[in-house]
Parts: sequence; C-alpha cells; structure tokens
Amino acid sequence: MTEARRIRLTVNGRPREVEVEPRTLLSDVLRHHLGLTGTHVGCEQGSCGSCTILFDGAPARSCLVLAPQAEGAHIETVEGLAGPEAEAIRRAMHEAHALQCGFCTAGIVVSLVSALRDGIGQDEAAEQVLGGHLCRCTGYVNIRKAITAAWKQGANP
Amino acid sequence: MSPYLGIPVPRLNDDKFLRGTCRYVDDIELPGMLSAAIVRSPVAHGLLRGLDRSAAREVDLVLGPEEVRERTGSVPVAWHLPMQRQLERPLIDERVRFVGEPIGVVVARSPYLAEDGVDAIVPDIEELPSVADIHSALAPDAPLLYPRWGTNVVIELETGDEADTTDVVFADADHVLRCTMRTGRLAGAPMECRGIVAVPDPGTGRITIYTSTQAPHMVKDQVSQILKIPHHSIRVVAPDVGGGFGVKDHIYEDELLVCLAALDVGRPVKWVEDRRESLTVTAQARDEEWDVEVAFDRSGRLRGIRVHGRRNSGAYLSIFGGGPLATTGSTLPGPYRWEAVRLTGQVIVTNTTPTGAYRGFGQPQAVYIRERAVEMVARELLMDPVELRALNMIRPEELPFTTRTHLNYDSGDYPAALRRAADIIRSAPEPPEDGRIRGVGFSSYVESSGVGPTAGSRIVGVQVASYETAIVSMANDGSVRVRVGTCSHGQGHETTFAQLAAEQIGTTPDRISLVHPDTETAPYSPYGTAASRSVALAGGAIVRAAGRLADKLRAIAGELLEASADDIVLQDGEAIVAGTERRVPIAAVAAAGLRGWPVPSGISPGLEESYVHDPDNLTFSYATHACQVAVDPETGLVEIERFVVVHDCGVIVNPMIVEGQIHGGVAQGIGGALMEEVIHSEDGQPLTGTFMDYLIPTTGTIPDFHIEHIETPAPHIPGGMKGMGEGGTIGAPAAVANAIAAALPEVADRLTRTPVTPDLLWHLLQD
Amino acid sequence: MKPAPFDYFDPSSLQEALELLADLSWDASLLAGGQSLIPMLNMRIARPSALIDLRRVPGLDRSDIGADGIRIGAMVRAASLERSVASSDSAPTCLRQALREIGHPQIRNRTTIGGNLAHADPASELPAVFVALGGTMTLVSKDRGERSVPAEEFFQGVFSTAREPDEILVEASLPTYPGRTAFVEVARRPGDFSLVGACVAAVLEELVAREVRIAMCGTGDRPRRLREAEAVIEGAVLSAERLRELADAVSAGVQPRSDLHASDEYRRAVAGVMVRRALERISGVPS
Repeated sequence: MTEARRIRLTVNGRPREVEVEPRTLLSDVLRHHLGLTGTHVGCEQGSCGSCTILFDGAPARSCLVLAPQAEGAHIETVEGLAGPEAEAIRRAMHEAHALQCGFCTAGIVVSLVSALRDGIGQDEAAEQVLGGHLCRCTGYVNIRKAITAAWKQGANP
Repeated sequence: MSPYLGIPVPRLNDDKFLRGTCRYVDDIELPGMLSAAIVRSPVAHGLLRGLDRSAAREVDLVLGPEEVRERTGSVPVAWHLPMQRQLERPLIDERVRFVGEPIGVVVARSPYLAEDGVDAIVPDIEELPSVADIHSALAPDAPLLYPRWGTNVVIELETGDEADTTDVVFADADHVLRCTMRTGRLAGAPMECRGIVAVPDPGTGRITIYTSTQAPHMVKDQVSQILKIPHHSIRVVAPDVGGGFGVKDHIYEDELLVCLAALDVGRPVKWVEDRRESLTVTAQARDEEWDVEVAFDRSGRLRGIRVHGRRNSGAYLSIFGGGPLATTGSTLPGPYRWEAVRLTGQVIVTNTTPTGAYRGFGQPQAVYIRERAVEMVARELLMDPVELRALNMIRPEELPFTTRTHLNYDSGDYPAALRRAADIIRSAPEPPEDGRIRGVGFSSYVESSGVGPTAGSRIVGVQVASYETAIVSMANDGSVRVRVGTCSHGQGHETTFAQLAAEQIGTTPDRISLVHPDTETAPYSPYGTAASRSVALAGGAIVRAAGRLADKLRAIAGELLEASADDIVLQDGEAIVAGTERRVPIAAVAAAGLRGWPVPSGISPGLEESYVHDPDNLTFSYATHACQVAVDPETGLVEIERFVVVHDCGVIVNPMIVEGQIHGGVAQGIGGALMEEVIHSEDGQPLTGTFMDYLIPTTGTIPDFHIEHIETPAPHIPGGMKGMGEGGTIGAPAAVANAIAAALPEVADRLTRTPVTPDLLWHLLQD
Repeated sequence: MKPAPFDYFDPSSLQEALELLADLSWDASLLAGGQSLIPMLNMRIARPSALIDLRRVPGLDRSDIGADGIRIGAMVRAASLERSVASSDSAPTCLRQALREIGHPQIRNRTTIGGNLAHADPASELPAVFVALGGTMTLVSKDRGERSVPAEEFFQGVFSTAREPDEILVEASLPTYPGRTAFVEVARRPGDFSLVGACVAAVLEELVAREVRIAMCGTGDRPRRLREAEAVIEGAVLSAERLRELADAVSAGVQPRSDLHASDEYRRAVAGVMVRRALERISGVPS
C-alpha cells in the first residue's frame, strides 16, 4: 500500500495520469512528474503560499495535498492561467513592480486571479488573500498597488 | 534629459516569473539525475566517530566523514583581522560543533528516498558539553569548541580612536550615557531555499554546477580549492535565483558534499535545501550585545561614542569572518561629527549555527546603537530629537568628510533628508482615538556601499577581489550584450544595466541583454552581488565599457557618413550626423565594425570593449527614516502606521526598482525590529525551524511607505550611482525602536533589545 | 521535507473506514483536510504506518444551520461553513469571527471542521467556541457504534481528545444560544495562531448579563469554561468596574504555559484583557 498507485487528475484542462507513491505531495507531482515547474516550493509547511494552485477552482497549497487526494480533481497552475483576469493580474503586477526575485510570484498570481474571477472585493484580496502569501523581497507595497490597479480595471467592488 | 536614466522602465524579465517559465535550481531536470540529502549532526557538540549506514536502503551512495576528509582541503575564511584565531577549517572536522552540521551525504533516486536514507543512518558521536550563548561561552569554565585556543574568543578587534584619545573626550564632556543593548539573531530566509545541481562529465573530468548563489565565481574558486579540482574544469552557473540577502553569498559544506557525491556517481546530483534547513543551518546573522557609552554636552553636542561589542559567531567563522562587527565599528559615526569614535569587540564561538552575512552586514547594528542612543540623549536633555541630530550633522559644505573611522564620505546633504522626513511625518493627519498610544521615531544613517576599492579591501582584511569588470559587445544586428560578474537575484539588473548601456550607446534597453551569470562568460567577481555594490561597481564599469564602445561606433559611423566622429549622435538604434538627416541604422555600423571595414585608421576591428572598475572610494548613500507606531499597551502589539524614507543614493537609474529595494529592505528591518528571532535552546537545539516560529512580515504588518529621493551624484563613480540595496534594512530597526520608545517614555530607556515582541513589551510595561 | 512511507487507504463508506480503523488504529492517522496533519508528515514529526483518507466517505460534508442549532459534518471545509454562516441569521457571531481567524483563505479552502476539532491544538479557535456554547461531538466506532460527547469533555489536553483510536468524529453541533456572542483574539500577525483568544457569550437585558459563557484558547492545555469568572458577572449589571473585576477573575482562572511566542504571565494577563474587550464589544460598555 506504500507502493505507487495510479492517480488520474485534470491539470490545466488536460487529463493527466501519474503513478506515484501515496506520500508524494501534489507539488512534486506537478513539478517533477508533470514537468510543470511554475509552481514553487517554499516551505512544505503550509506557511508561505508559493505552491498555491487552484484545486477544483479554489486556491490551495499544493504542498499540503497528498497525490491521492487529487484523484479526479481539476488543478490549475500558473502555466495554465489564461483569460482576462489572468492578463489583468499579470499586467498590473508588471506595471507596479510587484515582483523582484519572482519565487513567490506564481502563487500570488494564482490566488489573485482566482479572487478576481470569484468577485472577491479589493480589500478582501489585499488583506485576506494576499495575507496567505509570504514575500521576502517586495515588502508587499507594490503587490497591493497591483491589486488596486487590477481591481479598478476589472470593475470589481 | 536622458531617455533612459531616471526612468521607471518596467522590468525586462518579468514575463517568465508571471507565467511560470522561469528556471530556478529545483526546476532543472537532467537525464539520469539523482537526488541528495544531507546527514547532519543531531547534537550541538561532540566527537565525530563516523556513520552507521547499515540500515540505509535504496540508496546509491553514502559519503561519510572519513571519505570526505581524505579528499578535501580546508574551507577558508576570506576576511582576516589582526587578532583572529581561525583562518580556515576542515570541511568535516573531528568534532561536530552545531546541530545540523553536515557530516555526510546520501544519494538516491528521489528526494523521498534520499531522506529515507538519511533517516536510516545513525551518526556515531560522543557528545560533549556545549554552550549556546555568548555569556556561557565566555564563562571561565566554559566548554571549549577549539581546545587548542584555550578560549572561545575567535577574534578581538578594535576600530576608530585609541583608548586614551577617547578617554580624554569622555572626561571632558558634560554627561555620559551608558547602557547595554542587544540584537537578536536573524535568518535571511529567502523564499527560494538554497540548492545545487552538480553535473559531472566523467569523460573529461569537468563538472558543471548550477547553484542558487550570489557569486558564481566565488563558488568556482571554493570548489576548486576545497575539492582539489583544477580551476578550468569547473563551470558554475546561477539560474534564476529566488532571493539571497547575503546568505547565498557563502560557500556551504553541504553543497560541496553534493559536488563530491556527483563526481563519485558520475551522474547529475541535485540537492535542494528544505525550509527547516534554511531556517536552522544556513548562515544566520546579528546576535550581538554591546556596552554603549555616549559622551555629550548640555548643549546637545555629541562628543564621543564608545562601544564594546560581543558577537556570536556560531560554531565557526563564516567566510566573512569578523567583517560584520568590524563594519559596525567603521560605520558607527553615521552622519554626525564626533570627536572620538571607538569600538572594541570580540567575536565568540558557540555551539550554534554559524553567523555570517545578511542584508546590512553590521550597519543595522551601528545604526541601532547610535540612533537609539541619540534619542536617549535627546530625552535626557529635553531636546527635540530632530534638532539634536541637526545640530550634530555634517553639513554639505563639509563634504568630503573623513570620519574618525577613516571613511571618506563623498557627497550629499544629510540635514536636508532629516528635515524633509521630519516635516512629512509631523504634518501627517491626526490618527483616530482608539485607545492605543502613538509615537514617532527617527533614524539617520550613512550607508557604506559600493564595495569597494581594492586598496580599501586590503586594508580592511578582505581576501577576495572587490573590483568589477564589464564587457560590452555588439552583434551584427546591432543588439548589445553586457557581461558583468554580479549576479541579479531580484534587483532587476537586467533592466538597470540595460538602461545604463542604452544611455551610452543609444540602443533601446530591450535590445540590450545582460548575459546570465555563468563563470564561462562572466568576468571574474568573487564578491558577486552583495554589499550594495552592483550598480556602483558593475554599473560604473558598464558606463565606461559602453562608453568606449560608443566612441568606437561613432568613429565608424563617421567613416560611413563622411563626418567627424564628434558630430555623430547615437540615438534610438541609429547613428545620425547631428543637425542633419544623414543617418544609418546601428546594424550597418556594427557590420562594418565586425567585418573590419570601412573603419578609420587606428581603429581595430571588432566590437567588444571592457573596463575594469576599481573605484577610488566606497560610495555613501544616506537617509533619514521616520516611523510612527501605534502601541496597544494591554497586549504589547505594535502596529507600524506610517513609514517615511527620505534618501539619497546618487544618480538613480530606475526609480521604481530603487523604491522596490527600499520597500523590501524596510520590511526586513521591521521584521527584525518586531518579530524575527532565531532561538536555540540551552543545549543548542534550534527551536525556530518553521515559518510558524520564525515570523517574517506579512502584508498586514507593513504599511504603505512615503519615499522621497534626493540625488547627489557620487563624484568618483562613472554615472554617479551609489549603492543602496541594504539601506532599508540598515535604517528601519532603529526608527521602529525609537518610535516605540517615544510612545512609551516610561520604558524608553529599557527598550534596548530587538525584537520587541508583544511579550517583551508587555513585561517592560509591567515593571 | 517529505513524508516517511505509509500505507494509504481511501475507503468509500463510513463502515469501511471504521473497519480499517479498528484494524489499524494502533498506528493509523485519519486524513481529513490535511492542513494540520500533512505539515507534520512532511516534517516527519508524525510517522503513522497507515493513513485513512476520509475524502470518499459520503455524508460527512453537510452542514445545517437552523433555528434549533447548527450541525456540521466533520468533512465540511471551513471556507464552506464560512459561506453558510455568512448567509444565515441563526449562526452565532462568535462562530463567524472565529472561522475568519483560521489561517488564510487558502487554508480554509481545505481544512475541515472535524479535522480542526479532532486535532485539538490548544491555540485553535474553534474548540473554544464549541466549549463556550456547549457544543457536542458525535463519534462512531465499529465496535461500539455512535456516542455523543459534550465539547467540554471532548477536549482533554494538548492534541488530545476523548476520541478513542478506533473512533471517527463524524459531526459537531452547536445548540442555539439566545444571547450575543463574540470571539476576540490577539495574534502576532493577522491570520496566525492566537496567542490568546476568548469566546464570550451573554444574554443582555439592559446591562444585566445572564447565561454567561466564557472559554479561551491559548491559555492552557485545552479550552475550559471559566465558571468562576462567569459567576462574577452572572446576573450583574455590567460596568467598566465590573468588567475589570471579570478580567482579574479570568486571569486567575487560567493555567497558561510559556512557549516561544509568549510567556505564561503574558497569556494570563492578556486573557483577562481579551474577555473584557469581548464583553465590551457585546455590551457596549466602554473601557
């Protein structure tokens, strides 16, 4: 029962299948078995948010999901994010200089794109959603600026 | 008005980070690659006998102490001070001296199996009594980490004025303020942990090393020296690097072990640190205590400052040795005229994680000591702390100014920054009445940056090169390549350096690429990106090298356009005869230059220019920080409500990037002031190995900042830039502490340690 | 940091889960949301030889908020409960406030109510709410069937509950409470575990407080009703003076421990402050 088991999941809209030990973290499945290295691992303790993906549409820490828990799930990673909200977030972050080393960036993009899609308010995004992410480089100031710009553009409350 | 300088050009390389196509070390996958995990000492002090590897299964290789010792040389300390007991040490010694010290390496098919392998290995260590803090290590009967020394003091140092000169000043002054201050230990904690992929080529004996480092050439030098591999057989590449802050500017035993293991298995081996290792084993910082005395007159004139400092080095000297404490000594004067400045210090070994470089490198400590003392003096004299500072500040007309510690301040207007910061924070609207107590504190500093002149490094004891070289070349299509030895890890060099080159050559920044840090292509730079040096040193080199290339291009264009080189303007990717419509695309000029004709006589073919920049002096940015806090006296919680920075870093290439550096630096300073602390138990066990215990700032803890720039060019740097990357971290802790002290005058004089946690503050308020 | 190997089971019914647990209980962990367990697995602090994943067990993810109380299936995610509570008038305010303090949205999307309660971290917010309002936990085992345990008996110590190794917590419920409630905490950063948290409830007629309930987190090995403190204001007219007395009684009634983040003296004093502030919020009595 510790041996590899087959997991079927949908990633960025495509059906994928991996055979991994049940103890394999979803972050490692994505990064090393599916080659999607855009999701980064910052702590494996659930504190930093760098590994954030969308799990059935909701932001979740992929380092805190065991591979079998993702059976049948729809996963979206930073590489797969597309559409007006994703472009709005990316453009806003670029223009506001909301990233420096870039390591925490993918996780933040995923969380914010999801928030914009779900109609979450700007203040909620800047406090609660961003509050789940650690960044060591930017001091968060410009990330909040990016949120303001993206939300204004997205005409969200 | 320059089209490229002083412009907030959005960064040229953001796209890959926003789309997830970036490549950090752990993203590298190579055929046949194996995974490593590090065997580490579970105890703080002991005699290392060996490893029992009999239970390790499903592993491809285990290297233990014996194998490593017979194949490796010593790890050097690259900063030598006159009274220093340690200049080098073995990679794995006969004893272990801190919990987490690497004692072996396991290689397996996956990180999971490698960790299983480490779990199954039992170190054979005869435990010895240990000491985890400075005072225990200094006690008469303390266990000794290096018995042959007879002491745990590894460095004694003194900086500034002689004892008798200082005594005279102190005796003459009206008052002397005395207190003891302490700063807690910090961890750099970049979001990307350290990592390395070592790729051996058994056929040629070469090894390529991908590593998350701030200085690829330093890694190459150390691998060659310590692993006894010919220098030319080694190539080191820094891929995308997710933050460094100084901690990735060291060489680490675990990384060297991985290289050895890779050579043994003949296949690529990857090791990536986990977060617990990052917070417990990677070089830590600060952890110092000082006895502080300030001599001053009734009038407010600051006369002398005398400090005795003790720094916890951890188990051994890192590559930076006693540098941080020596830097505290040299930067102690700050922006004030003093008659005497003296620091004596001891660096002390203990059975804890080694301490080394972290953003600020001794300067935050100097600023904390001095600026806390300044506001204590102001309180004692019932003087406005701003007026007290202004009274003592070096005025612009006094610059250049040589401090009592032999720093030659270059240019600037320190009082202007002070006044402006004070005006901004004092004219802010009244906050609401919410039961909390508010206070405003300041901190003024001069940042020693742009490290540094070769002659200066020699005097100070630095054993590695500190000059920078730039090589700028143009291709047939008119695109430009810039090669430097520095190594961006978030600072946006790809954009700022392109702007500097664009300014000289007239090609737009998007056609100028900074070559990725690779020892095969990057000019020699063991210092790398650290010490707020890149824009001044590498940037200055680029200004010169690109300037030379531009001169050549103008000469060749003159030949093509039948005009004098002096009449040629390079602009927007073209060469134009000034005041006319005669122009050629730069690609045509490039083609001529690379082909070798038509070029004027005396001009050699080729389009590559280089410049070795060894500046005459350090550079000196400066700032005043002003901070307003709101304190809840019942819970000890401190909120930073306002933070103002008025600073001068010389000519600004990209203001958006400069502000980003200030944001991040101040945030780290706030973290150290209020919440970050590495804690070891009495028997040397790390207690803060997760982000739940080592708390770094989150968005809710950092307000928006008000930043204003002053630009006084650095007179001796091509382009006039001064380094500033560490400034935020240097000034912020003192400003925060001073603000809390201003809010709570009844405990102000006992607020002499960082971090000011709710528990600490609450206890102070109870007494 | 990767987990040590374990046998993994994902039963498709409660019966199957109970049978597995009965066989393996000596060294099996139940996996619900994983937000507490998986960090411990990653750090190899927890090394169960078997993991029983409840994600496929049907019927555990329903919640019901009504006039006669709240029933929450063990696998209800905190985010889902947050949404249900927000759109209901019947849910006590303290529950809404406590849910909001659990980590961050990304954690709340995964963490389950049952997992949170069964984990019994003394710093955790929800256990204090369940103890204050007299909640009930429903446990099921293969051999002994279903039983209900009052919240105050359920939480027994640090990471320790009344759940036997072969039992699964399937539901937690809260009775209706006729008065006003509040949850207040102090944390070092927004979203962190509480240093000290207070769940407070009172029925107020004018400023007379009745049916007072007080339970805390972060002040001992488990949340307890602070009955001596409750007695200080039970039936009394609330005033600033009376609330200060209450705060002192709370401080006297808790048995906090020191840790890295705060000393016992701090927690003891701040416990009183939190309760006082929560009552000020409910009653409008100024400090």
